[in-house]
Amino acid sequence: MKYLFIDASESTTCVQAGDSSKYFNQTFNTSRNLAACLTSICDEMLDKAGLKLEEIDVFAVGTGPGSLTGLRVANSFLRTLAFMGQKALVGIDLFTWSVATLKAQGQTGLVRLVTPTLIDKAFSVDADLSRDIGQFTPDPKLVDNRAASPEKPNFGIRWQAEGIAKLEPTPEVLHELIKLQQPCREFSEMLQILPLYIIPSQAERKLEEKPC
Amino acid sequence: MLTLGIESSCDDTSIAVIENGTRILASLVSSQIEIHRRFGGVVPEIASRKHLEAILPLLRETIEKSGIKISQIGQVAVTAGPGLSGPLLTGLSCAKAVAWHLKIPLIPVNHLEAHLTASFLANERLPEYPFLGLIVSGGHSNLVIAKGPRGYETLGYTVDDAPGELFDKVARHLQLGYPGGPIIQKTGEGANPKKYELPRPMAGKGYLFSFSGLKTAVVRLCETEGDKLDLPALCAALQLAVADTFSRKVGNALKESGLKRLVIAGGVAANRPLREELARLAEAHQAEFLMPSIHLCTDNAAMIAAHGFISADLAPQNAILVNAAANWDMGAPFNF
Repeated sequence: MKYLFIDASESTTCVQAGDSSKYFNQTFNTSRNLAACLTSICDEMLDKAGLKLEEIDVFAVGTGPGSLTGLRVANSFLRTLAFMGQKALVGIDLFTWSVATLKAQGQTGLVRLVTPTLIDKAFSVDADLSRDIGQFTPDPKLVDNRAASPEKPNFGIRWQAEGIAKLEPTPEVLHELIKLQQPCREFSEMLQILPLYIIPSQAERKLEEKPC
Repeated sequence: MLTLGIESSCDDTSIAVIENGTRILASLVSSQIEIHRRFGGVVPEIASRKHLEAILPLLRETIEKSGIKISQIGQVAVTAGPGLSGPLLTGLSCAKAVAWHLKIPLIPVNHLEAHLTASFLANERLPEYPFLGLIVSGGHSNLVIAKGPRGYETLGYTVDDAPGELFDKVARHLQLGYPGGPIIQKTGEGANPKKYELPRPMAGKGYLFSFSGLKTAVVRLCETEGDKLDLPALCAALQLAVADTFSRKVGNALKESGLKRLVIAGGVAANRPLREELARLAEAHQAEFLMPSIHLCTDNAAMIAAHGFISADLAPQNAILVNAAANWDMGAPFNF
């Protein structure tokens, strides 16, 4: 299985291309320029992996949480590529990738994963690392502060604060996760793969606050 | 040559296939009006979300409706600006995927330039230059001399609100609903447009436009009239003020430039009093008058494809690396 993955949840973009035995991973400093360099960074990664676009079986895309613009750019690009080539699409949830990384690092028990948002709130997910990764379904809560849980170890995804250790999801784990995921091949299934963890816009929040 | 057009600059997702720049094989629009109505205007974050949901099903449906195979597409034209960043990026990323997969050229298109081409497309013609162009929409009010597909001399623009924005704001103030243009036109039908005297903003000040004062005048009139307000007459008077403002300046531009072709475009070009007034004006100046059909007035991908077709030779070789530009003047360089 040959794949091409993009995670654009941050100002840098993580791209990985590989097949069942090897992979190549690189982080590009795309800043606010991802849409401009989409094809050039993918060309570069396919070259490194010795792959051609038409050989790709599975397109994999990060579904967040993170920069909604970046996630949408990558999603629109990879989803269209999957449609054009009638190939499969996989969504990679950053919480799942992070939990799988913690398990691979030998961490056990209950943990809390935290990732900040732009509206001074954070997404927080509690995970039981004794369970199989296939059974993990993130159930994030949008919490008002970034305070750590006093009872369990806390990990910030690519981010750290007092009482919260930085966790960097790894390429090795991603490689295994992509192989493990059930890819979507049906058009209707593909349409379900969208950026998750939407934060309501200011206009939506205002409307919600309005008395009926 | 088959051109695929993709448009997502504001709240309409649209995809079209046209042949040789003039024949529309399919042109579909997924509108978000109902979603944004409750906010009284377009919410960029929601628009981005909805574009992403709509774009792929629309691409598939457009290809099916056009009766072609996707591999027959020869080039992809996409709106690269001006517009809302998030929505633009969704369309651009989709277009790049199609072009990259098929190994065909990507043509970044300026949305405003394409609006002018829509008036020719409505008549199944390729644009003939030069002409005087007036683009009137929710975000723009531009008076230009079009010299070529990517060559424009800007004569005038709005210094504050665009006419569509004026209609939206007035409709919101009068609690008529959203979008304002069609509602104000419907409400004002058959009413006396001269019952109320509204100002003609920036009259005698060259080719610049301003519509925020007109909105204030409407608000004050509502306060003065109170319960006696004749709503249909007010809507008719507002449209007359807008049409008259454009008519005076466009008339001056036709006289000064000596151009014999007038083209109007944009969402507000669907406004009947404005269309009728400018048609009269063109006739008085013995100029050909071109306006888009109602379907081609609003944002659509057919005009993007048509403009991509005529400007393909002017697109840079490395256009696949272009970025979206929220602000992009007509004729200005591409955003790399």
